[in-house]
Amino acid sequence: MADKFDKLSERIKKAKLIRRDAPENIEAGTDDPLTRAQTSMGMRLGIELLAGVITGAIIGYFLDYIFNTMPLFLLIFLLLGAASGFWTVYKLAIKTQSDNKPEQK
Amino acid sequence: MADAHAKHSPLDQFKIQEIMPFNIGGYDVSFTNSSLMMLIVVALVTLFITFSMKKRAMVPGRMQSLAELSYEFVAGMLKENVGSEGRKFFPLVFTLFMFVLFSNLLGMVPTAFTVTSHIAVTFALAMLVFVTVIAVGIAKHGFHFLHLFIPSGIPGWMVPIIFPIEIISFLARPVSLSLRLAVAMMAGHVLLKVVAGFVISLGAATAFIGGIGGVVPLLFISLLIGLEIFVAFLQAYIFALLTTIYLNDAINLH
Repeated sequence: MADKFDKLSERIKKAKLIRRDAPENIEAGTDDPLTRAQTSMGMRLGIELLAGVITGAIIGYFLDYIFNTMPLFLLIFLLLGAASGFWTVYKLAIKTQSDNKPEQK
Repeated sequence: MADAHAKHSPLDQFKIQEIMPFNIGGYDVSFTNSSLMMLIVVALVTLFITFSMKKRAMVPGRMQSLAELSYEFVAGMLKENVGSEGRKFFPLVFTLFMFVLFSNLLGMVPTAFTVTSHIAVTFALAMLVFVTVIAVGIAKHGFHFLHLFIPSGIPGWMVPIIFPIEIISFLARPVSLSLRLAVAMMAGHVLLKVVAGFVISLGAATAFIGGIGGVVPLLFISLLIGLEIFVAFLQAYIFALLTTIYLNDAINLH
């Protein structure tokens, strides 16, 4: 039984060594949690801008539909939506910056 | 010709087909291929979790460690982003994560239907998160919840400007949450289909040398499939991560 565990731990050690030494692991940094977080951050930002504009457009269109003032609220809320999209991205950027600082040292 | 063209459209894979037509009070609530796929996903997740944990071994086997890995992944994410109070929401986040992950991955099976490529499905999931966040926020903080829309440390005269922008950006959350998932899945599957079409057309164009031209897109598509599987995981991760972040906003007001 003990022999079996010894063999297993040896195999684990070997596998770990191979993983760390592999050049593609070091270059791509797939194991680095920071890189993973940054990848997901990048995927977020673009859509966040779009979502703000779409939401603004929907609200504006709805208000115009109710009050029968066709382009007025649509225009106002399109601009507000765009502003809120940028605001979200700005807040996100500030937050990531302050999150990363203590890790960099 | 028109029929053949329609059959090979890269968007054809997203078509909803009725399996059991059904009508309640003028609303079309047919059982479709989308509903069938969702049922399969739910059944598979349930089977996966129940059977892999059946042994409850101290030293987990392969399937059990997969189940434990997914459990710890979501639990860790909740703990990191929400704190100890997030434990209550583990079932919600775990269910969402597994559902999205399995739908994404099952969508990669050839001829399978990708549930998460439809904005109707992802928007319903996002609204579930959105409504939960509002309900939790109001239940926990009452009227104080509105402070979520006033960032801390902001000068008083800026509040009337920031307040509507914050509200719109809050309302945009379900939109961005659902859009991101649906767009990523749909774009990937369309790309796969288009490149797969290249294999045939390039192969036919180079038929005089044995269709060798089809090899290049064929190699490309095998790379793309790897990328798509990565995206399937990544999108499920992002969906769950954003859910925890939004929950954190509601539970721990700044």
